[in-house]
Amino acid sequence: MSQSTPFGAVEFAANPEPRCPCVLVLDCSASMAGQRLQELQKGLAQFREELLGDPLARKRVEVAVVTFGGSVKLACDFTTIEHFEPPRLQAEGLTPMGSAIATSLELLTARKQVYRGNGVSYYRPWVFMLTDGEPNDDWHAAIHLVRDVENSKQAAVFAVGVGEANFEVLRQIAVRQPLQLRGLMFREMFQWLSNSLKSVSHSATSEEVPLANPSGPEGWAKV
Amino acid sequence: MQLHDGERRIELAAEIGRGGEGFVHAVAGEPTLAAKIYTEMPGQERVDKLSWMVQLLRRAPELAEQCAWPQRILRDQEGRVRGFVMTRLASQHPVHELYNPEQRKQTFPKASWRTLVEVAAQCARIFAGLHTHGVVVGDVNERNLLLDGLGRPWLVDADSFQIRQGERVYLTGVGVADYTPPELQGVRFSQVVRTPNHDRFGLAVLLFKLVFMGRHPFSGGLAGDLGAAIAASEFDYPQVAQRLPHLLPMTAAPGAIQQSFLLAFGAEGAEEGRPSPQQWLQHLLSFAEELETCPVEDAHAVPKGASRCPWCQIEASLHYAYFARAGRDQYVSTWAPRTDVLEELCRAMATTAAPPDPTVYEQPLGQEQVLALAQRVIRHDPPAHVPSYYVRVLGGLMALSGTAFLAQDSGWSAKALLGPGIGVWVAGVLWQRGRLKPWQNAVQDLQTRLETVVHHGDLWRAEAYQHRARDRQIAEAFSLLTDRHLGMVARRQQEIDKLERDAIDPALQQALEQVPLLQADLPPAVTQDRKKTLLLRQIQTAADVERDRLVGLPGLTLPVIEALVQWRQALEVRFGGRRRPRPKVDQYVAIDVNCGVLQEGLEQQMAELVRERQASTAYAEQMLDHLYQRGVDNLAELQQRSEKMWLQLRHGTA
Repeated sequence: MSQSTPFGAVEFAANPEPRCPCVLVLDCSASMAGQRLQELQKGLAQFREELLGDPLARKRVEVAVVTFGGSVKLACDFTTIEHFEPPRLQAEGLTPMGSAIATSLELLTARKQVYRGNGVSYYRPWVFMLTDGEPNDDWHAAIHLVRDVENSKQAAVFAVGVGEANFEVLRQIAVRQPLQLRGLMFREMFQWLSNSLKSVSHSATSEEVPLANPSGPEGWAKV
Repeated sequence: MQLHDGERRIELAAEIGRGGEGFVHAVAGEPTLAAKIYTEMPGQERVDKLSWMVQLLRRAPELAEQCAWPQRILRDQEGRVRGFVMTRLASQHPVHELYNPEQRKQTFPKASWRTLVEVAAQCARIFAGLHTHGVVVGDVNERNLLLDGLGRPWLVDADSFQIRQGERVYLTGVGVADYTPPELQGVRFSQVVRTPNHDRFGLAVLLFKLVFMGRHPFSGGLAGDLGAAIAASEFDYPQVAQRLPHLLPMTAAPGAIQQSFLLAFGAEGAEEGRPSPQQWLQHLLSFAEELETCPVEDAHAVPKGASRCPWCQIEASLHYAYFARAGRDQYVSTWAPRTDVLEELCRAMATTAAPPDPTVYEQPLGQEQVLALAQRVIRHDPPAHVPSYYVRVLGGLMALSGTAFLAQDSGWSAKALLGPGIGVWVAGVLWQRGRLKPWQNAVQDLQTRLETVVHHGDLWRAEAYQHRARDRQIAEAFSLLTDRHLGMVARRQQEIDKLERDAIDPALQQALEQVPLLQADLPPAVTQDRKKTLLLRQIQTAADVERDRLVGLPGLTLPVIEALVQWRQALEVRFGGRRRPRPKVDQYVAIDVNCGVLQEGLEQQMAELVRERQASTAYAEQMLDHLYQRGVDNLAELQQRSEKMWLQLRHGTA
């Protein structure tokens, strides 16, 4: 028989809702230590709370957390918000942003494979990267990777700079306009992210959802 | 804002929901009404639409059955339209909480496949009613269908329905691609006039999700994109379900249902018409009628005459149950280990001080000096008594001279001196004794007091040791009770396990025990080696073949276990036996109540121990204070007396 049980079968039998995957790629290099990381941690917790309150989004939005500080780590593999426990972030080392982006995109490809294997549809994945510095590894490959997934609409890649982030590099990597975080408005940023994911997860898998402008006068970002 | 619905003033109460265009509020004093208030002032188009909907309702009151149809328009003081009132649902759950398997098990634990089919039928009925009146839902999606407290579906967001008024059509303007037919994919909803046939597609998607465990009929293909899959008419669930054995196969549903879905999702239906809500209603009602309870598992509903239970088959291929099992799973236990109470008690115990240590007793200040003084007084010679001394000397002299006279043989003077001399001397001694008696008494008294002071600490220590010993017993008893309290989780589980083990019919159990594995005709997957493993593990008869006992045995892979379990099930059927019904909810309740009572008992005993320690400590501390005070008093008395006697010694007077 050609029948087989794919990876994650129980998970998708229990909850066959279409998935809205989102990878949070978080800079945890040494420069993030202190208040920045604390605020980021609080923002993550709030992000979970917000999405948990939405009966549909909690079953559709899946989060994975990739951190880069010293090395690239998968701090939390894809899980629906219902089961998401924000990881404890720790700041250390340099900023291997290039390989963090590559890892995230690989992670997404693998996850989409799992969705397809289980016959579950999905929304265009989001990659949401946050950094306060500049890459110290080879990031030029990341430019092509990001361009490819954006052009083929396989993923939407957002880059957010904090403090003294190198926007020259971010502009080169991200196809979309990189955003600069105002002060330490991580909570506002995650509020926006959860709202956006909520509206995406309420839409159809094929729809382009207009997002609230985060760089408005009340917003958390400047362009 | 003052609102009026044309008949009376409407007082808004708490907000109970919000959507893209407005808020839904409860209405004060009207528990069956809700008010939708638009955030933006509605335009003329919307005002006309609402007025027309209210008029339609007067002609066809059935429109408001299981549908949040606008009943009366709400206007403010200036007469501007601000919203409308509609039926309010007592408790509401979006339909996805019913069709999503995991959520269903939590929110609707008693729902069976039959429940799902019945809800599907009611959805079809609502659509049928609307379509008869020329109303098209338009924006069909899982958030616009709510279930009330009785589990009946209701369509909400009625003001977005597409309504026809003569030549004029009020459009819906929005839609969700997942529920949009292929012919409308990619079309801008704001300009499209929807037809009932468009609605029938959305309805069919909704019905499909209800019948087929929340799965969308179009899985989205390679790009995961449902809209694109629908546009390409890739109704691929039948293939996906063939590939994945844990999905409910299309063939589990009756032929009429299968045919209807094929027609609804195929290209043919787009041109020649998809199954109408009325047709769905008939098919679904007879489908629901046909479902019976699976002989093995009460939670499974099986079509009459099916050769095998599809749910048993699914559960055999994947360790996942789509339905909450009867009894245990349906029983929402309110029992909790009460760790908070336990923690509170442990904290109370830990923060209650133990009785004071026997060694904490301190002797009053200056005790050493006082003792030394008293000892000196005691050891000192008694004070001299001068008059009696002189009397004794006089008596002595008289006796001595009497003796001398005796030698000189001067008879009478010797007699006259010796006899009285002795008498005087004796009188002197007696006088001295008499005068010293009070002193000696005082010394004796001093001695007693000194000993009291010296041994006063012992008195305290004896008392304290008793309290400490009792306290150790208290602590031990408390920790024993804590363990028993913590063990309640395991104990409850044991009771539940026992309850469930007993669920098998004794006659059937006996029959199964008569089938030894050694001679039995086992499935081919059970090789000789595996048979040996089973026998070694005391699995000797068919009665021992239980999934829980098989899992984890060496060499027994899941397919082998399944084969064995199915073999046993086949035997059960052959013996005409039937498992006893699963334990009733009441039996679980009884266990929980019992555990609760036991826990409370333990907690009371623990609280009693805490109180006992508190009392013991308080008593011991009081005792310590009291004894100390007495020690101080005793010492003061001793000091006073010693000093007085010492002064007497110093002044040499008795």
